[in-house]
Amino acid sequence: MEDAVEDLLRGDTTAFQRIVDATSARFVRVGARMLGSIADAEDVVQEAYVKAYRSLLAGQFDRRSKVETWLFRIVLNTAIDAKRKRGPAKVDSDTLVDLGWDGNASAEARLALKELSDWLGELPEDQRTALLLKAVEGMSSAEIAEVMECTEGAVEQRLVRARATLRERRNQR
Amino acid sequence: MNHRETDIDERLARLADATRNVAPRPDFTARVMLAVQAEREPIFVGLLARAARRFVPVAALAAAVAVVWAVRTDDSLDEVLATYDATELPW
Repeated sequence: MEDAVEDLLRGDTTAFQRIVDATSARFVRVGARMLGSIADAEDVVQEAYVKAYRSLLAGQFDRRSKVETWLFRIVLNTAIDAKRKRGPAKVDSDTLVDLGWDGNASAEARLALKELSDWLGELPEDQRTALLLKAVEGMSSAEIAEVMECTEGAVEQRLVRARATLRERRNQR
Repeated sequence: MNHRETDIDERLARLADATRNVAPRPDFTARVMLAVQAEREPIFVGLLARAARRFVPVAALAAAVAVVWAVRTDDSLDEVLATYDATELPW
C-alpha cells in the first residue's frame, strides 16, 4: 500500500486504484455498520477517497501513520460528518428490503445494519465509534487509539461508558 | 461481567456476524475512479496555474527585453537599408 502511494506521487495513475481495490470492501462494511445503509456507506467512502486523493497529491499525507490507518481515519470522519448532517436514519425496514440492489447483502444483513445503527445511534459519537470498532470490527484498543487519535486509556474509557450507557438505557425500558 | 453486559456483547456479536458479508457493489471501484478522475483535472489545472504564476514576472521581463531588442534592430536595419545601394542624384 505504501508503494502504491509512492507510485501515485511519481505519476502512476493506476496506483490509486490499487489502494481502492485493497481497502474498499472493509471501509464500506464499516461505513454501513455506522450509517445503517450500504448505499450511504458507498457515498461516504467514495467522498473519503476523493478527499484522500486530493490530500495525497497536495502532499498533505505526513506518513506518521500507515496509509490504511490514515485512510480509515478519513472514512470515519466523513461518516461521522454525514451522520451528523443527516440525523437519525428515516428509512423503514420495508424500504430496506425493497431496495433495487442488495450490494451483495441479504435482507437479513440490511435489517441487522439498521438495528445496529439505531441501537448504537443512542450513544455519543466517540463512544459509538469506539464500541463499533472494538466489538463489531474486532480491532484492538491500540489500533482504535491510532485511528481515533487518542490514547488507549481514552478508548477503554469510551468503551466502559458506551456499555454503561447501553445498559442504563436498557434498564429504563 | 454481569448478565446484562453479556446480553450487550451477545447482541453485538450477532449483529457483527449478520453484517459480516456486507460489501460494496461490483462497480464501486470504477465509480470511485471516475470521481477521482473528475477531481484530477481541476487539481492539474490548479497546479499548472500555480506553477505558471511564478513565471509571470520573468515572462513580462523577457517580453519587454524582446520589444526593446526588436525596436533597436529595426532602427539599425533602417540605417543599413538607407545607406545600402543608395544612389546620389546629381543636381
